[in-house]
Amino acid sequence: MKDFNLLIGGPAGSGIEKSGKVLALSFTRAGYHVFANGEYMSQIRGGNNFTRIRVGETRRECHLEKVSVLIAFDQQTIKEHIRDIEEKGVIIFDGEGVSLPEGYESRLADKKIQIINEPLKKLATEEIGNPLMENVIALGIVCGLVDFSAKIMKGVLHKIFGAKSAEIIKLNEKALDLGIKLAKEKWTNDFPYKLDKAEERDRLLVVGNDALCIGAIKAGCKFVGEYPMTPSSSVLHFMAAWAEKYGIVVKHTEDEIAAVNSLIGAGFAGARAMAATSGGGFALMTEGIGLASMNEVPIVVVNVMRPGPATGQPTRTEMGDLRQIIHAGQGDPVKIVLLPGDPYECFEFGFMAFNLAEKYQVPIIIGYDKYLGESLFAVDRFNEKGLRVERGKVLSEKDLVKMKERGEEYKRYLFTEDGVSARTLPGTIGGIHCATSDEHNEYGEIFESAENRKAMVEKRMKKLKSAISDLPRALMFGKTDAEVTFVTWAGAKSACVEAAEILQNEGVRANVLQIRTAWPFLSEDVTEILNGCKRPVLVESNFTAQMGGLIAESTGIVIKEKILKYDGRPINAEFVVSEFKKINSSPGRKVR
Amino acid sequence: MTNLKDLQTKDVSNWCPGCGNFGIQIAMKQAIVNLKLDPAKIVISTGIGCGSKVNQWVNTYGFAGLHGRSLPVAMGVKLANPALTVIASGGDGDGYGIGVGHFIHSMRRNLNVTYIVQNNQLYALTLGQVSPTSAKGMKGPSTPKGVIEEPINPLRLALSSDCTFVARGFAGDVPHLTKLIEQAISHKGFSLIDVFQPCVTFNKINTYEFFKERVYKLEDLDGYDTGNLGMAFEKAGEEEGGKIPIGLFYQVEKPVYEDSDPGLKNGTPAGSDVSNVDIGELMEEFK
Repeated sequence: MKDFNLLIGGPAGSGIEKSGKVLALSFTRAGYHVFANGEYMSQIRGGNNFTRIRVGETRRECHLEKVSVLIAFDQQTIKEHIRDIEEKGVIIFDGEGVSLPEGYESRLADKKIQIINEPLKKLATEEIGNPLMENVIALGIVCGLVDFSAKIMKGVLHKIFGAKSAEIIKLNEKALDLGIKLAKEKWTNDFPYKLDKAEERDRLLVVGNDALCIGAIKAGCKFVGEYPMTPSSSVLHFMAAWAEKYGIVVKHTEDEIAAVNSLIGAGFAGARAMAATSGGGFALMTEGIGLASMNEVPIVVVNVMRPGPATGQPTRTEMGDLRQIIHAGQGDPVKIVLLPGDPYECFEFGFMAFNLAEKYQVPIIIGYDKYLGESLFAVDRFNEKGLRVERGKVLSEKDLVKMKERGEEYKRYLFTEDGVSARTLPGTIGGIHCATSDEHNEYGEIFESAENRKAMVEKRMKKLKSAISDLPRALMFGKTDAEVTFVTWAGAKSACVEAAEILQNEGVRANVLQIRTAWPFLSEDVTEILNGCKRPVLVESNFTAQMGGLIAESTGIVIKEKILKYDGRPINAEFVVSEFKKINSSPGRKVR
Repeated sequence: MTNLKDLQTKDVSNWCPGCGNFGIQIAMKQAIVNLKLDPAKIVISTGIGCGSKVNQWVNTYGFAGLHGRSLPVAMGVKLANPALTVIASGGDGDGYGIGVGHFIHSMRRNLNVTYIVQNNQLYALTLGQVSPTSAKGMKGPSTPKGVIEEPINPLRLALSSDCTFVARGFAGDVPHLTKLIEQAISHKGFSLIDVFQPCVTFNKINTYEFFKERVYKLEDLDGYDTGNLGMAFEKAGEEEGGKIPIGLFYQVEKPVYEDSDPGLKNGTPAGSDVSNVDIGELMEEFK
């Protein structure tokens, strides 16, 4: 089956996102692979929002520009997407609210596109008794068009709206049936897509941020101190929703400075602590990153990136904070920066981050873009096998008594082989110390000596070397003998993998290198891989090629060919393919 | 049984001879001894400044963090392990300047945390600039012609921010301050003690003599009611030149934050076993 694509758009507050979620979850439940991404504006009402849903039989994690079904609840959606409808596609709208641009009827006819112009609002009011049901009638039409299981979609409607009342459930079902009936009576004839699968698969529908939270909860995250910032806020909401069940303290703090410092307090006291934010909030947390590094406190901070600087584009996407997160903090703070590239890695790194934080007593930063953080993915149930919680070196009262008996003194910042000194948690008798943000000696006391300063800097830095074998290494996708290697990270990974397959089918041997740890940069690994690549092409969404720069300074390898995007919109496979073709016609050219 | 010697660190303090911080530190230690607290169950969180060095020289668990951020760290510690006694401490610049936002939110939050502010009415560690509590007209290297702004009145700010324990002490009266610290630690809720802390090096106005001539104790005042917000507000505004009240201005019982936090209903974050968290039900939600 060719992938099926649908776009539903309308003003904010009109239920576009919910309707999109109903479709995405329905197709997920039926056993399809689903990817859905939304674009919305930073306003509560009005504007133009849309959700794109891609449904298929293979795992795909980026959107396509072309759609088979366009559902338009406002004129803007028609204006921006009418040209995206494929041959034999369908456009669904309510002619009483919006209309086709002049001359379009014949153009649509040329492409054999069916026009489904139905008085949805009127039908919802008169036949169902609630004008808000217009969305559900439209979903019913889609259901009828592709022969999708009404039973599954009703189950999903029940799940998403069911909590409200039995009355609402009834109305939803009635509206869905009406839509299906309309489709069957009037238009299904020639529609080329049938989504009549209805197998039960153990799949979940999650956004990247959800996957990260599930990983964090699995890891035993017990404290969240956070301030809302798009597109990271769903992490705060998720953790708050599950706080009671899992015994997690979730504090919406007065600002991000309080957030990061509260994590540090909680981490110092022995709780696994996390905050998510975006670039602006991360800027406020920066001094705290240094504090966690200096006092050697485990914390996890997630930066879900949006276009900057300043307010930038709050609801759009960019991979533009890489430099910000790797360089956060004055005076070389030790830290680990992880870059998940898909929802499975959000889960995996969300779990792993807490082990790394406690094992090496450093702040862990997880960075990815809004496109990964807020897009919906159908995923297999996350695999918990082999996940082991490691809490690092922590001394108990018993340990301390034994040490005393051996005549050993407890020193919080003891110089060690691997740079990691054992912690004692407040409350532990025999382990009293002061964790001090001034340079300190092994006891934690402020100490100005030059010799001690040098040794302490080296001790902290040593931890990064010790951690290297635990860090996610760069991954290759595709065949090894490629002519072209797309080098990328985070939310652009999936687009590159699909682009490589498209090119492969067109006779260009292409593969993908995904960087998964940004700091400490795994130079040896990446150098070795890149030395084996014939023609690396960098793909990332920022102006200055931040990953390209990091690779160059860490490995000495300068990737000259670049595909960069900085319009606030996500990179997908089609974009990578078309931009590659442009540079291919003039090698060495930088494409923006 | 804890005694003063147990609270002594190997390292000795390096404040200027005669610094008000000595009195505050002695009062803190004495209060811990009098309350029979175990030093291992106490965390003193501080910011940056002369007074913030207090946890370097009191032998409890300590966290010396960033300028103005002693309260958020204290919050994290307290919420992660509510069984600990948590004391935050810092100067007037730290708490009423750079950290004033956290100060206000901490008060409305009403965590069971004690906050002791060493208020010397200037920035000492950075060599004598004026602070948010410096008197109008006071001169310093950053304001050679004198302060133009009105000073913050920390007690009035606290009283209007729903602080449940508002007190003022004087570093020159250690027994009185000790008593206040004991009351503050025993108080269930957020407690503020603003302490007049003469800076013998830079502050030539607010000296020991200055305060000794002026301070009087609210408890010696006939009919003073610590449950009367209006009376507290009036006393907190008593002008310089006249007499300055010290003591407990206001105290009220209100639910503390940690008792209502849903995440703390079934255990303590810092102590919990996380080796095998079951996420089965969680994943079901996404099907």
